[in-house]
Amino acid sequence: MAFNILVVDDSGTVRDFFAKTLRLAQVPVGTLFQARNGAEALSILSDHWVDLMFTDINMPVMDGLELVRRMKGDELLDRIPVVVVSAEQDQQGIEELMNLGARAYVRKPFTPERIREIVEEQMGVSDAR
Amino acid sequence: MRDEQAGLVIQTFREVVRKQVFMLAEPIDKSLLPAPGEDFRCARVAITGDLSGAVSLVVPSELCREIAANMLGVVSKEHLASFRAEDSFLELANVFTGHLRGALVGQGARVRAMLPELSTMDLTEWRAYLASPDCQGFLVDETPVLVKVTTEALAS
Repeated sequence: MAFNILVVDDSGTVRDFFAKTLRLAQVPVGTLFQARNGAEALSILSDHWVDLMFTDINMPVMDGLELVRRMKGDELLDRIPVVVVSAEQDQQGIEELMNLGARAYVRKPFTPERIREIVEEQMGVSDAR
Repeated sequence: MRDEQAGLVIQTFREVVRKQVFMLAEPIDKSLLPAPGEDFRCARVAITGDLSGAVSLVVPSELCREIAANMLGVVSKEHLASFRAEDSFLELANVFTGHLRGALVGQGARVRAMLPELSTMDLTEWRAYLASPDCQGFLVDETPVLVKVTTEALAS
């Protein structure tokens, strides 16, 4: 089974690094969608099915908090597991995102092992390779 | 820079550089920094909240390409390394600020990091940064790098 994954980050390097990390982690990816901010992510989500979304918090145009808030208000998008990826260690901000429905938090910099672990947890599979 | 803060800056920068871009960062007395070249990039991240100020990294321009190459697992001559050079440098500043913020004020404090801003610098500006007491010198894989942290705690 391959998963459609959406990575939302204003840094192209991070998006490229995610693609490399998913390959190294041997995560079976159907389509890897990329967005530079929350607004672009919502546009992709309106046209494509996504199984799992990784999002940064601090982005221009629409940040991760607002993106998760908007997804929470949509019956379909609310079902997509959201993983917050950030360098921030702001416990209150992370709790706010978790209360809005984010499922997990990954701190930058991250490893392929950690990403595989997250995919397996969120997709309910024991070995995503 | 206060001794305690300088210690946290050194520890955090070394750790983030090792984990994020797979390079070695060694603190060095600023008077011993080798000649750095003529063209520099500065990434500045402003912070606001319980602690306000800014975190700046200044590097010789060529180092940005090495940072990108290491992050993306390509050689520095590849187009992708040039294409992502400045973005990778900004991301390093972003991650370093996030980690330093945690080290300086802990998890409970409300401190927000703004989006990193990129600027170019010449040798005169490099020397001005070098002279600042808030600036710490490093060698990152033998390349001179400056880290400047200016903070002011909100009066309680």
